[in-house]
Amino acid sequence: MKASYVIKRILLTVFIFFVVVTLCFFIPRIGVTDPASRYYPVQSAGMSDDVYEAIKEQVRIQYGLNGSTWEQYITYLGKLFSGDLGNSYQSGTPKVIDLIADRLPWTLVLSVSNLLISLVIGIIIGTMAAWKRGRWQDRALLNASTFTTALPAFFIALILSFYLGFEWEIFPAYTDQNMVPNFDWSWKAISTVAYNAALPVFAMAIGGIVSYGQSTRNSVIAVSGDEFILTAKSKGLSNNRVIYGHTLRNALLPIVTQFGMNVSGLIGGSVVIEQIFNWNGMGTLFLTANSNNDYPLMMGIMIFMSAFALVANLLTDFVYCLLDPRVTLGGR
Amino acid sequence: MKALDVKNLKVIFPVEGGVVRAVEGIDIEIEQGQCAAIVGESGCGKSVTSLAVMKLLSTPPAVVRVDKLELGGVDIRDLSDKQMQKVRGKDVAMIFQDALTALNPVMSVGKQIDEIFLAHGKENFLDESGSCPNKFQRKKEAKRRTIQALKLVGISDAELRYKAYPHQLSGGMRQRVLIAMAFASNPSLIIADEPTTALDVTIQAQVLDILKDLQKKQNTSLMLITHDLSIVMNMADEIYVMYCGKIVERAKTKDLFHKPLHPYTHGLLGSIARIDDECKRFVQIPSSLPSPMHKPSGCYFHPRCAYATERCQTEMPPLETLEGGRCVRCWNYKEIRYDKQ
Amino acid sequence: MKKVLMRIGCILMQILYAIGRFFKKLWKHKQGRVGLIIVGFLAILAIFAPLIAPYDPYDVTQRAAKGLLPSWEHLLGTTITTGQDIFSMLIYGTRSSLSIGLITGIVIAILGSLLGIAAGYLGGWVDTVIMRIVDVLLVIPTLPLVIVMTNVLGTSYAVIVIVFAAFGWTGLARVIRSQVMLIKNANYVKAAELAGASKWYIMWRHILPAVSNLLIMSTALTSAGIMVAEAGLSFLGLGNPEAISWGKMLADAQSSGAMLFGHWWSILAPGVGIFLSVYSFMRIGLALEEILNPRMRKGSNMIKVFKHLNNTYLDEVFASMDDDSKRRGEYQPPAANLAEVAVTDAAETKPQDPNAGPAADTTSENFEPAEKETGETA
Repeated sequence: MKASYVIKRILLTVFIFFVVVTLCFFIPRIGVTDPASRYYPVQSAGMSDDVYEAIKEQVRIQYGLNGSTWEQYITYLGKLFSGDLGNSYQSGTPKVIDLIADRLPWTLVLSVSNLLISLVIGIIIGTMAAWKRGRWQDRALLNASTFTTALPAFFIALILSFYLGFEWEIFPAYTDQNMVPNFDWSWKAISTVAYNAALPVFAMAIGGIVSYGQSTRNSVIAVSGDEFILTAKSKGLSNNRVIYGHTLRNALLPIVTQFGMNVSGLIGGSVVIEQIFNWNGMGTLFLTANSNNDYPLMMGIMIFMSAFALVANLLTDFVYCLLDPRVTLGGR
Repeated sequence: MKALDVKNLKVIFPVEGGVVRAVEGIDIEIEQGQCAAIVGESGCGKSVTSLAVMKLLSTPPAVVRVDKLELGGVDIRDLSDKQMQKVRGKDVAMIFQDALTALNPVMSVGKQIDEIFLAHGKENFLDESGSCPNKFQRKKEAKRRTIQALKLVGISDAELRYKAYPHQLSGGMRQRVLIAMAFASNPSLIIADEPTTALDVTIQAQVLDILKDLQKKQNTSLMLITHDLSIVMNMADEIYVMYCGKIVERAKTKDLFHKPLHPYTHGLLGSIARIDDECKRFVQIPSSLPSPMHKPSGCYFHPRCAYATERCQTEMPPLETLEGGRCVRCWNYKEIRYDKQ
Repeated sequence: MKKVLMRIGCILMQILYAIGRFFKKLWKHKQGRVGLIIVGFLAILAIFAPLIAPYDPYDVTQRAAKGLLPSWEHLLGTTITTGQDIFSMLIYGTRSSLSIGLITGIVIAILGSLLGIAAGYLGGWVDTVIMRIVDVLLVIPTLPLVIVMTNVLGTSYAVIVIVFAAFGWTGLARVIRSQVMLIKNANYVKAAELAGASKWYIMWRHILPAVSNLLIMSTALTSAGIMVAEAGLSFLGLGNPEAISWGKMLADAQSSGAMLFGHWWSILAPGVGIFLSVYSFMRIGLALEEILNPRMRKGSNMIKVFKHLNNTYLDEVFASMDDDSKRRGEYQPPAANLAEVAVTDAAETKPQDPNAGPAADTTSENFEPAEKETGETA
C-alpha cells in the first residue's frame, strides 16, 4: 500500500464529501428565491404582510438564512466544519446532530444485525450449494434468488407482519417506539429490542441471505475450478484445509466488495422497513422530516449518510488491498 | 521395484448423448529412478492419465476403471480419498503446466510449500529423541525446510522469495517454486504435466536441467507428460506415445529416436527441428486429432496415416510386444520402410 | 427529398430487423420466453385496462360497498375506506408500473450509454468529470435523495421519471465505460483510427454496436429495479397521487387496517402484481445475459445427471475399449504369462471403482487380461 495512493484516495473522499455537502445545500433552494418560504410557505388568511414578513425574518435569523446565498453557504460550511448540521424546524429547534445521534443506534440495531445474519448464513448456504452443486439444494438456492430479487423487501415485510404479527401474533407487527425508555444493557432491555426487531430484520435478511448465498456459490464454484485447488489437493492437504485455506480464502474476495457496498448503505437502506414496523430509527426520522418540510433535518441526515458511506467505501478499499496482494493500490 | 505400475487404466467422461472416451486402457510402468515420458498431441488424454494416477479426477463427471494401480509397490487402487491424502504430496507429487494458475494467488509461495510439510503429520518432525515439537516449532522447522527446498531449485535469496506472492515472481521462478514443491517431501514419483510449455525456450532448458538434476540426485522416478518430443530426448529413459487415448508405441528413448515403428511416432519425430537435419521441410501429420466422442473405426490413426491399408480401416491393431520390451500398435510396422528422416 | 426518405426507410427497416432478430433469440431461450409471455400479458392488461376492468377504479363514491369480501361481483373485494374495486385497481396499476419502469429504463439506457461511451472512449478530463459525478451519486443514499427531490419538485409523473433517471444511470455508465475501454484497444478500432475515422464515426459505428447488447440487457434489469423503487416510493405515499399504483394500494391496505380485518388478498394482490412485472423483466434481462455470455450460463456449471449412464452401458463402453483381438482371443499371449494371469483374474473379482458398482465383475469377465501383462515380462 503506497502512502501517496492512500493520501490521494483520502483527498478524493474529502472532495466527494464537499460536493455532496454543496448539493445538499442547494437542493432546498431549487425553484425558490427565498429558502425561508420553504419553511413558512403560506401566508395565512388573516395575516398581514408585515407580520408575515416579520415571521419570515425571524426564521431567517434563526436558521442562518439571512444574507446572500453565498454568505449562507459559507456559514453553512463553517458550521459543518465544527460538526454542527444546523437546527431542525421541529418545535424546540433541537440540533440535527442530536436527533441523529438519538435515532442512529436504533437503525444500526436493525441494519447491522441484518447484515451480519445475511453474511454468515449466506456464506454457509452458498458454500453448501456449491458443495452440493447441481443437486436440489443448489437448485433451490438458484430459484430462491430469482424469486426474492423480484420481491421487494417491503412486500416481504408486509406479508410477515400480516401472518407472524397479526394472524398468529408471534412477533409484534407494530413496534412501540417507546419500548425501552432507558436502554441500560440489562437482559430485559436487550431481549425486548431483539423481540421487536425480529420481524424487520428477518424481512430484510431474506433477500440478503439469498443474494450473499448466490454470489458465494458462484464464486466458490468459479474458484474450485481453478488449477491451484488441484495443486492444493495434490499436496495431500485435507479437505478442510483445501476448502478453508484455499477455496474460501479466494472465493470470498468478491464477497468483501459486496459487503462493503452493503455497509455503505447501512443507514439509508431500511427507510421503508422502518416505516412499516413503526421502528424508531433514521428512516422514520427522515420521513417525518419530509412530511414536515424540515429541510435542515433532511439534509443533515443525507450528509450524515453520505459521510458514513464514504468512510465505509474507503475502509473497504483498504481492507480489500490487505486481503488480495495482487491489487496494488496504484491503478484504479 | 516399480515406482508406478498402472494396468488397463480407462477413463470416460459422460456428456450429452454419449461419452467421451478419454483414456482407453493404458499400461504404464516406471522403474525406481527412471524417467518415463508420455508424448502425444493435446487432447489425447495425457493430462487425464496423470490426474487419474493421482486419483485427482473428480468423479462425477469422470468415470475411472483400472485393474491395477500401484505406487512403489503399494496398491492405491481402492484407497479412499482420505487415505489418498496421506499418499499425495508424500509419495507422489505433481508439477502443473501453468505455474501462475497452479499457485494460490493470495498466499505467499513459502506458505504454500510449508503446507506440504505440515499436512503430513507430526511424524515428519520427530527429532532424535523421538519427541514431537510443538506447533510453533513445527512451523519454524517447515519454514527452514521450505527455504532449503527453494535453494535446491536454484532460487537465490530464498529467504526473501519465501514471502513473495506468485504474481511477483517471473515465469521461470514460479515453475521452480512448483518443482521445489514437488520435490519437497522427497516423493518416490513425480508427475510433471507439461512442466515447461508455458515458458520461453531458454528458461525451458534451465527448468528442465533443474528437474533432471534433482531427479538424479534424489533418485526419484519421473513421469513426464509433454507434447514436445525434443525435450524428452535428453530427459526420458522410456517413451510412451499416446494417440486418442491409446498407447501406440512404447520404446526406450534411444530406440525410438533411432527407429520409430509407428507412423504416428515417425510423424512426431518429423516435426522436430534438428540441427543436423538436412531436410528442407518438416514432415507434417495431415489433418488433426479426431473428436474423442466420435473416434474412427479400426485403427484410430488410419485417416491420417500415409501407410494405411484396408485392414487398418476396420480393425484396431493390438499392442504387440517386441523384443526388449518394445511395444507397437500397428498392423504394418514390419512392412513400412520410412525414408531417412 | 426522395433520397432522404429512402434513407430513413432503410434505417427503419434495419432497426425493425434488429428488433425482430432480438425477439427471436429471446423467444428461443426458455427463460426468456417466460419473461416475454408475462410482459406481453401485462402489456395487454395495461393497454386495454378500461375494457378489461369491470369497475371504474377511481370511483370512490361507492360508500355502500366498502370493505367487501371477494365475490363474483368484486373478484378481489373492495377497499376498506373508499370502496374501490380492488381487481380493477390491480389492472390499472399495471399502467403506472410498466410505463414508469419502461420509460425510465429507456431514459437511463440513453443517458448511461452516452455518458459511459464518452467517459470510456474520450477519456481524459471527460472521463474524470463523469466518474467523479458517478462517485458522488453512488455515495448519496438513493431513496432519501429521491424523496427529497420529489418534495422539492412535486410528485408528478414526469418528475418521478426524471428523478429516477437522473440518479439511476451511474451503474450502467460504469459497466458501459469498462466495456468500452476494452473495445477501445481492440485492433479493429485501432485500424479505423489509423484509417482516419473521426471519433464520432468510431463511437457511432464501432463502439455503440459493440455495447448495444449489453445496453438492452441492462435496460431490462434497470427497468425491473425501477419498478421496485417506484413501488417503494408510492408505498411511502410519495408517488404520483393521482395515479393508481400497486405500491399505493399496499400502503392503503396497510393503513386502512386490512391486516386487522384479515383481508389478506388486498395485500397479496398488488404484491403479486409487483412480483410478476419485476420478475418478467428480470427474466428477460438474465436470459439476455446468458445469450450474450454463454460462459456465464448458470446451467453450465451445474452437473447434469445423464439418464443413459447405467452400469450396463458403462460396461459396454469400457469393454469396447479393449482390442478386438483380445476379446476374440485371436491374439495369444506368450505361455509364460499364464500363471500370472490367473492371479490377476482372482484379484479382479473385487469390485473396482465405487462408480463402477457391483457390475464391475461382469466387466472383468469380458476382459482377457493376458495381453496386458506382456509388457511386464518382456
